[in-house]
Amino acid sequence: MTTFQTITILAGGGAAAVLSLHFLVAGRRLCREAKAAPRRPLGRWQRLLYAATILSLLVLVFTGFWPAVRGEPLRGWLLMIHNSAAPAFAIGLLVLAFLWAERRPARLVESPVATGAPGATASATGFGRGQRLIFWAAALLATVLVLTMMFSMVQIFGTPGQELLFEIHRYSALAMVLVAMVHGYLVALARGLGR
Amino acid sequence: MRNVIATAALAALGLLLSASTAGAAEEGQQPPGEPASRSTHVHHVVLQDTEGNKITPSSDPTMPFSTRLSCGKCHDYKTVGSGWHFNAPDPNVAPGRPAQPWILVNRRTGTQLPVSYRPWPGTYRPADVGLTPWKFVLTFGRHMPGGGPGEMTDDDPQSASAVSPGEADGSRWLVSGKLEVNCQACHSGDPAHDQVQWLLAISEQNFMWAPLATTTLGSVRGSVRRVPDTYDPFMESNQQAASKGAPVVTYDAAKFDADGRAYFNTVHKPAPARCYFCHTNHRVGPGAPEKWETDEDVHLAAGLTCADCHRNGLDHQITRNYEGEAEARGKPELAALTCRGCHLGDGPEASSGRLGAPRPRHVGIPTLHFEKLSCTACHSGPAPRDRAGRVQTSRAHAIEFHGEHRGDDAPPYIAEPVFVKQVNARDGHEEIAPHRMIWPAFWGRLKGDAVTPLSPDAVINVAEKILVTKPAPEGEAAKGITLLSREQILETLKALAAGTGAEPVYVGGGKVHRLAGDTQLTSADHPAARPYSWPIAHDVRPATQALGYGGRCTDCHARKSPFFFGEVAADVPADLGKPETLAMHHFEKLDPTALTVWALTFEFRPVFKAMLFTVGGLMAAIVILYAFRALAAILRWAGARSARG
Repeated sequence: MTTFQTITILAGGGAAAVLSLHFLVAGRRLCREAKAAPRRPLGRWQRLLYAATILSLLVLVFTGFWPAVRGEPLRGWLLMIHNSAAPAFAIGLLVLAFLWAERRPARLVESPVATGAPGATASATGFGRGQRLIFWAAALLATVLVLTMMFSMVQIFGTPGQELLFEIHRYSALAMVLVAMVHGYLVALARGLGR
Repeated sequence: MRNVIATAALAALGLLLSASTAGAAEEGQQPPGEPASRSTHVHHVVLQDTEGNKITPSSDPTMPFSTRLSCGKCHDYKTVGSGWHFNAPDPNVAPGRPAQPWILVNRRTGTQLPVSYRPWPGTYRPADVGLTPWKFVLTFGRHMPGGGPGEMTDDDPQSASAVSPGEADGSRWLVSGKLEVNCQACHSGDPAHDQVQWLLAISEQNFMWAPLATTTLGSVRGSVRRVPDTYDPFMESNQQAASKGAPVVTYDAAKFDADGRAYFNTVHKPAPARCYFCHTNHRVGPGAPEKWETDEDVHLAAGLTCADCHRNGLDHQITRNYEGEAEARGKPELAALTCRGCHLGDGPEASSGRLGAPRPRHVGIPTLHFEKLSCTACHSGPAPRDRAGRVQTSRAHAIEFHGEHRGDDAPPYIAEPVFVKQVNARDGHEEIAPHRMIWPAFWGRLKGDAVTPLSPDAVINVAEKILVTKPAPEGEAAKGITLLSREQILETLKALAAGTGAEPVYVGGGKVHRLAGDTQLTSADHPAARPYSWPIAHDVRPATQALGYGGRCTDCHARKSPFFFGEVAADVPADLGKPETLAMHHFEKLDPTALTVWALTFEFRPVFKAMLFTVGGLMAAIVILYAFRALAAILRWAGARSARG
C-alpha cells in the first residue's frame, strides 16, 4: 500500500470518527441553536449553483479517489469523467466565491461572534465562523487543484515537476475532501438534523 | 662469452613463452587471459587447421584455418561459443525476451514460418519442420556467425528428432566440416573483410572453408557439393582436389611474416558495419523512403557504436539491454545499460549521463505515459502511419545480396511498426511497445486443437504437380511474385487428405483454412494463425522526432491517429482474397470508443486550458485579495488591542 493510500484511508476515517464524536458530544446542542437562529436562505439560482458545484465535487472525489484507494492510476473512462466534472466544479466554485466572498465578508475578527458581543449568534452574518473558514479553505484548495493540473498541461515542467504537481494535486484533493466533509457536517447541523 | 650466454638464455625464454602460447589449445589447458589494456592487440597468429596441423602457404594440401584452434590458443573457444549468438540450440539457456526468429520461406508452398531453437511462444522448433542442423545451416547459415547448429552433431537430441528413423537428411558433415565460430565476422577491422563470401561458401557446403573465405588471407576455389560423401579433404593434394572440383585453398604468402604467422586485422569492439550485415532493416512498399532518405540510429549518429551499449565479456553473453534482462540474468548491473539506465540512472551505483547520454526532461508529458508506454514506443522505429508498413530484414530477406530475387515484394512479409501491449519483464506491468510482426503461413495437420506444421518439402512431395509456379496474371508481373492461389490451396489440401495423417489445413492470413467438400474452403480463427511479433528498439529517432514532443499530444490523441487506429494487414504469400486488417488498438488491448472520446477532448483542449487558467487565475485573485483584507483586519485589531491595553 502506498503512502497516499494509507494517508487517505486514515484521514478519511479519522475525519469521520472526529465528526461522529463531535456530534455525540455537542451535536444536539448546536442543532437546537441552529433551529432558533434567524436564517437568510439562498436564492433559487444560488441553490442551483451550489447543488451543481457539490455534485461535481462528488463526481471528482469518486472518480479521483476510487482508483487511488485501489492503488491504480486514474485513466480511461474515469479520467474522462473526472476531466469533464472539473470545469463544472471550478466554474461553480469561482462564481460562489465571488458571490459569497463579497456578500459574506470574512470578518473573522470583527464579527459579533468573534468579539463575543451579547446576543451574537453563530449565524448572525449568515455564515458561522466554521463555515467561513471552510469557505476560504475550499477557495484556496480549489485554486491549488485547478492550477496544478493546468500547469501540468503546458510545456513548462519536466518529469520531476509533473510528479510534484501531481503530488500537490492529490494531497490538496484529500484536504478538499476533508473540508467538504466538515462542510457537509455543519450544513447538516444547521438544518437541525440532530433534532 | 657473456653475450653468447645471455643470447642463449633469451632465446630459451622466448621458446618457452611461444611454446606455452602454442600449447594453450591442447586439451585441458586454459588459454592465457586477455590483456587488460584498452589498446588494440596486434594479432600475429600461427594458423592451425581442424586437425591441429600448422598451416603455411606452401602446405599441400592447403587447409583452411580453424578458428577453434587458431584463435582458441588465446581465447577460450568453448567460453566464446557459449555466447548469445551461438547458444540458441542449448536447451539450458534461458530464451529471454522474444526476438526476431528465423523465417522459413518457401514461395512454392506459400510458406513463411517463424522458427527458432529458442522456445519463444509462437515460433516453431526447427525439428518440427524437418530442419536438421544440416538443413538449418544450409538455409540460414548465411546470417549466422558460425557455431550453434553449425557444430551440432547428428547425435544431438535437437537434431535427431528432426529426422525420422531410417530417413536420411543428406547431412555431409564429414565432407563439409563443421561451421565454426567465425571470430572475424564481428572482430575484423579489415575493410576488405567480405561477409558475402560466407554465404557463398555455405551455399557450396564449404563450411570448414567459410571463415577463410571471408578474409583476405587467401582464396577458396571449388565446392564440396561436387564431391561424393566419401571425400576426405585431408587426404587429397591440392592438384587432386582441383581436378575433382573440391575446395582448394591458396594463401597469400605476403600476409604471413617470416615466422609463418598470419596477420589478422582484429579489433576488440566491432564496428557497426559488422553488425549491420545481420541486423539491417529496410522499409519497402508504398511510401517507403529510399535508403538515402533515412537516418541512422541517433546513437550511431552521435558517435556511439553498437558495442558501446551491447556489451559482453569473453563469454559473449551480449547484453540485449531490454528492461528486465538484469532480473532475468541475475545481474543487477545490466540495468545500467537499458534506456533508463543510461538516460535516467538505473541499476546499482548507476548515475545518468553514461556515455554522455542526455537526461530527458519530458516537458509537459504526464507521468502516466511512462507507466503505459515503453521508451521505444515514442522514440524508436519508424513513425506510425495509417497503415503499418512492410520491412525487410537482413536475416529474413538477405538484403545484403544483389539479385532480381530480392524485390520489394519478396516474402516473408513483416509489418512494422505494430504497437503491441507487452509485459515489462522488470516488474511485470503491461506497457505498449513497437513491434515487428509476421503472420505465419504454412501447411499443417489439425488434430484436436493443435496444428502440427508440415515441412515444405513434404508438401511438395505430395502436391508437386499442383504447386507449379504459374505465370503471373496481368499487372502482377512487375512485382515478380506469384502468390499461391486459392485453387492451388484447395487441390493441395485434397492431395494431402488422400494420404495418411490427420486433417490437412493451410494456415494463413490469420485463419486456418480447411476443406469443406470438394470445391470449398472454410476459414476459422485458430491460435496457430495468430501473428508472431517481437519488440523493436532501433532505429532510435532524435528527441524532436519522438511522439508527443513539444506538446504534440495529437500525435497519438487524435481521432484517426495511426498510433491507435493504424491498420495492420495480415499479409501472407498466398492469394486468400483481401487480407484481413486489424487496428493497432486490437494489439494494444484498448477500447476504441474510449480512445475516440478521449481524442475528441483534445480538439477542445486549447479552449479548455484557456478557460480553466482564467478560472484558476480569478480564483487566486479572490483568495489573495481577501487574504490581504483579512491581514489588514488582523492588524487593525492588534493595533486597537494594544491601544486599549
